[in-house]
Parts: sequence; structure tokens; C-alpha cells
Amino acid sequence: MCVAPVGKVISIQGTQGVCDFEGVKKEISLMLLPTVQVGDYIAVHAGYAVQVVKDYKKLLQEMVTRNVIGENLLAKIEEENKKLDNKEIKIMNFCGTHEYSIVKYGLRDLLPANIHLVAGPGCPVCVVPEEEILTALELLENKDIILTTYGDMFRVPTSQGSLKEAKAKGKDVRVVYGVDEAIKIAQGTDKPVVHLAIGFETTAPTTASALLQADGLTNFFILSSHRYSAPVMEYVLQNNTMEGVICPGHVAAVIGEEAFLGVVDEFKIPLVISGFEPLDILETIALILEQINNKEAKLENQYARMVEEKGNAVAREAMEKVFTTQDAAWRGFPVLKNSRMVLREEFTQFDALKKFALREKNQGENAKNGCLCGKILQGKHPSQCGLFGKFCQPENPQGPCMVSQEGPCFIAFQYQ
Amino acid sequence: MKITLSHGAGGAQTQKLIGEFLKLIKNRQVEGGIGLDDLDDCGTIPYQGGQIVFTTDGHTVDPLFFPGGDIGRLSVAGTVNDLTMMGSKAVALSLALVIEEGLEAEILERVFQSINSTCQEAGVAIIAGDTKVVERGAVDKLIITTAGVGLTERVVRDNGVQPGDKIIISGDIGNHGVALLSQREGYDFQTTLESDVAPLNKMLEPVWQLRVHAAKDPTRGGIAMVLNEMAEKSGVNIILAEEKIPLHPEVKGACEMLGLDPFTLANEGKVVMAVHPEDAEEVLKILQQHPYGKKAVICGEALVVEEKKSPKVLVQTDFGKRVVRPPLGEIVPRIC
Repeated sequence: MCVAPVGKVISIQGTQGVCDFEGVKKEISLMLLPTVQVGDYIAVHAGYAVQVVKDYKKLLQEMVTRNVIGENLLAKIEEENKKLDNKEIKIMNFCGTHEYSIVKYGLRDLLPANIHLVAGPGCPVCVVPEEEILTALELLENKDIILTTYGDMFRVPTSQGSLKEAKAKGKDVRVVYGVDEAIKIAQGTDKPVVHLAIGFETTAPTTASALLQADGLTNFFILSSHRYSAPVMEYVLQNNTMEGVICPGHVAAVIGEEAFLGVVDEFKIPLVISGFEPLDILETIALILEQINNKEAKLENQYARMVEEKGNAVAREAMEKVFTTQDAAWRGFPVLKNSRMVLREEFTQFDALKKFALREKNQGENAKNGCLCGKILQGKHPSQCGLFGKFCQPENPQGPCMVSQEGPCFIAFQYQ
Repeated sequence: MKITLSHGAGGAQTQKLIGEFLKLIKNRQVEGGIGLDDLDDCGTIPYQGGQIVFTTDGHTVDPLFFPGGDIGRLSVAGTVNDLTMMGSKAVALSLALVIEEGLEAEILERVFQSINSTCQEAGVAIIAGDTKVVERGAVDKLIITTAGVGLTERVVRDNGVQPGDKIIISGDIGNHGVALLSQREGYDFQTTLESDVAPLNKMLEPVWQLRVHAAKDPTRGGIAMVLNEMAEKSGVNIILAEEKIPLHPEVKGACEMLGLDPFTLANEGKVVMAVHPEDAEEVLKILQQHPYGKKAVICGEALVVEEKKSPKVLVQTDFGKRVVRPPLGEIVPRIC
């Protein structure tokens, strides 16, 4: 659910650094990773350093022989699968970025026919309910503001159109790469700048960190559609039978390995935190099958180069300082308890809902047009939706799953 | 409906918009020639046993001067390349300027210098022109529209790909796209990449006597767009080997950083060709001898479409395969 490319830190100045991505250089914030040093390889999400990558050299070496390693992993999967005696195995890849990788490298076709990888709800764009986008549209309609948001959010359809259509009508909607760019825009204007913030625990700390430094900025506000990942994972597992879960690696890099222990205890199925390279995913599948054969149900961490037991303490603290929880609806899901991050009292000055006295519409089940996004985020295949491919295509999406680059419908339509 | 930027981004939505506009135009073809409905790079007029090839192109770019090029070079190269992709010899262009009031004359002089040097390189003349100045704000600085005429005895179409043909790409893809993104507000990254903008007619002149079955320049929409057009119009599948597709490390880095797909990024000095398998090596050699084609590769082939299936473009990765579809619309960075 979170793109987090790896680059090399080439210079540091205070809390800012320059990161090199194969020769392309970008300034990034080090606020969430104060211990980073020049020469470290780091994962960057939305303009913030999230975690140091251990043993990056080894990873690069593996890339050279990845065909061979891939063959070996597939052989291992085959071997474990023989013991399963063709039993149907459903493994949920929770995170949209995993789904993207799986499809980009055509991994499904390489697996035995009885092993099914099922896309999960880890697509932040997909799960933001219509009401929360309508609030942003209403704000654009009634106030002279600049609205910033992330790329995919721009095109999500609602009954009142999309943010992109609002822009075509002359409203000031800007796509940003990270919250810091939204802050920069606010510093350069007198107009109110409202940032529609989405994402799980990987993105939320960047918003939190920005607000912790935004003291004195009186024209910057947040509409928080940030979500916690655990409530939706639990909901899906309560309502669907899965034999294993590929856990979101970049969320885990922030909240830590131990955050998933509760899920293992409750559902007693194999959980493996996974990286996003094709080799990572194949290894994760092999680990899950091995656990099934050994009649085990434990948490394993395949992504140890990035994920520590307690995650990123600075990022977690920032998130806890700024956000508190609220019960909230998700697109296609019922209200999930304590699942949304909203600003704490101390940060009311940045709360767009309060500043502009906005009232979010009643939150309830949505999808009036036959869109099955909610079901698809729980593992239903997009082709089982009556709209898919006919009335709903990436050019004319009926729901967010067809918009987001991580949406199961978009991915199924575009790459399969 | 209101027009959005996606309608102009060269992807599926552009195609759809063009399709709708086409219906509004009554006369779309000269008898015996290639017309608008063919949606090829140019139209043609049969004349004395050969074909007059004709095209037009409007150019806007922000900024006017970018790493590796400018709007002047872009205007000439763009039209020369469209004429070239039909296998024709580009001969002459027209040039129409729409200038925003207040533009510095010095900027225009620099644009003209660039137009001159590009015309000289391509061996074409500008034989007609027009100038309009509009009120401040009515256009952004400068719009250049060029039309061009080429001549040929045999037209190379984009629908002529045959099963078994080799697919050739003339060099690194996406450099122009990344070089321009780096200049845009909000992107904030540094790269040494320059636009590849260049007229390709001289490089390609010797290849037209070989069995080149189709050629296109992958501008907006990138190779994802042109390969899909070629596959669909020709009724073939095209399969590429991902590891062979030439990609500059900085394009790869920028794409990973911003969550973009290099296949969808614009180029202004590349050609994608389908060539008879027996001639492919020779075409490749010709390209590689030219500065603009040094990194040319054979990176795929055309296959017969399976029964009852529609044509598609596939990529073989180090692992499995995936489908490449035309890009959707304007390019936005993604974090999730």
C-alpha cells in the first residue's frame, strides 16, 4: 500500500537530506529517521526517510542472479505444495503494492493452480469512503482554497464528480508527492491550503511530522482520511477464510513486527511480513506453505532488512502525538471501531473540519451504483463484479478500485 | 463534458476524444489516400504514382527551453519524425506562431535559431508561415504549429506488423519525459537526463529499402501507446523482453521514486519498428551506426493472436508475463 523506493543518502543538512535514486537526486526529510547517516541506503515514502535498509549490497547481488534464486524458490513452493495434496490454499496479500508487484512480474501464473493469491484491502485510495471525498469537494465549491492530495486520489469518482473534474472546472486542486510540498505551497500563499491526507501507518507519520513542525503556519489544514491497518485486516479475516496472510512490509517498518502478534493469536494462521521484490514474495509464499505443512501458525518476518521488532519509534511517536482514533466507515465496509486517525485536541488549529465548520455526511454503507469495491477488497475477484470491464474501466471508473494503481480492479484490467 | 488534461496526455482518453471529434469532420480522405480515419502519423495524397505525405502538429511545452531542447527544435523534429514514420522523405514545413503579448523578442530569436539548426540538420525548408499575437493570458507564452510535406513511392503504415516480425527500439526510453518532469513545479528532483528531441529522418533514410513493416515514434503515451496501436491495427500480439528494453538508470530511478511506468513516458527522438526477421539485424546495424541509434536493440517480436482473443502487448519479465495497456492519462506521481 505504500511505494517506498530505496535510495542512498548522499548528504545531510539538519533534518533534510539528499537521496540518490540511481543518479536522480531528491531532497527528503529525515525527521522520522534522525539517526540516518551519509552512505546509508534508506526507504523513502512520500518524501520522508522511513527506515534504513540493512545489507543492501546483498540485495543487489541477489538481483544479478535472481532468475536462479527465483527458480529455487519456485521449486521449494512446488515441493511444499506436493505435501498439500492439491488442497485449495487462499493467501491474502493485504497490501496493494504487493498486488502490484505480483501482477507486474506475473507471479500468479508461476504458482501451482491450487495456490490462490487474493488481493486485500491495503489500498488507501480504495478504502476512503465517498463521504470523505465529498467533504473535500464541498470545501472547494464553497471556499477559496487550494486543495492538495496524492496522485491517485485525484481521479476517484463520487456522485458529485472527482477532484480532477473540480480542477477542470477551475478549482485549485494540486497533486503533491508528499505533505512537505503542501506545506511549501502554504508558505508561499495567503490562501488556505487544505491537504487531503490518506494512507495507513506508513504515510500517517509524515503528516504527523509535518504538523509537529508547522507551528506558526496559520493557513495550513488537514482533512485526515488516514486509517489504521489492523481493524480492516481483522474484519476481513473474521469474515473470510484465508490459509495465510502476506503482511504489509512498509506498514510493518513503522509499527514493527510485534504489532501483528495479536492477529496471529486471534486467527491462528501463518502471517509473514514481506518485502516487495518478486523474490521476497515468492519466499514469503514458500514460508507460508511450510508453516501450513508443519501445522504451525506463527508470525515470521521475511523483510528483516527493513522491519524491526518495534518498527520506527520516532515515526510511531509522531503518529501517536498527533492522531487519536475514531470509529469510521470504509469504502464498502461497515463502520470499523477505532479505525480512523483524526487530529487530537492539541492540533485543532490544523483541523479543516473544525476550521471550516464542515459536517461529514452520515457514514454508512455506500456503493449505490452496483460497484463491489468493498467485496473485492475482501478477496472477491474483480471479474465477479457486473460493472468490471464493461461499465467500469480505468478511463471511466465507477469505484476507487478501478482508479488506484493499487486497486485490484485497475490492476486486473490493466495488466491481466 | 469538460476537457481535462488527461484528454491531451496521449493515452486512451486522447484516443477517445479524437474518435469523437473525427465524427464531426465530414471529408476525411482524399480518394486513394490515407485519411483521418486511419489515425496514422500522416495522411497521404496519391500523386503521379507516388504519395504526397502530409501532417500537422501543434506544440506547447513548459518550459519553452528544457534540458536537451526547446520548443523550436521540438516543433521541427516532431513534424519531420511524423513524416519519416510513413517512410517518406521530409521536404518542407510550414510554421505558425501564436505569441502571448509581452513575450521577450529575444526568446523568439533563440527559438528561431533552434528552428534553423534543426531544419538544417533534417534537410528541410520552411516555406510558409503565419504569426498571431494574442492578449496576455490568452495563451501561455508561445504555441507553435507546424505542418509538413513528405514524398514517397511506398508508404510504411502502422498497421503492417506481421507475425514473426522483430520489434526494434532505437534507444533509451523515457528520457524526454523525465527531463521535463524534473522542470515541473512540485516534482523537485535533479537529474542529468536530457530530452532526446531529434529529427530521425537521416538516421532512418537507409532502412526504408529493407522490409520495415511498421514504424512509429513513441511521443506522448510512450512505447505503451504506440505498441498497442501497432498491435491492434495490425491484428498481432507483440511480446517484449523486459530486460532488453533500453533504460537509462536515472529514468529507472525516477520511475521508482515517483511510482511511474517508463513505458508510458514521452520520447521525442526514438522510433519503434517492426521489421521482417531476416532484415532485422541489418536495420539494427544501420541504426547503431548513427548517433541517435547507438543503443538500438531488438527487444521483442510479433506473434499470431490466439483464436477468439484480441491483440495485445505482453512483457516477459524475469519471472512471469504481464500485459501492457495504453496509458490512461496525465502522469501523476503516486505514493500508494
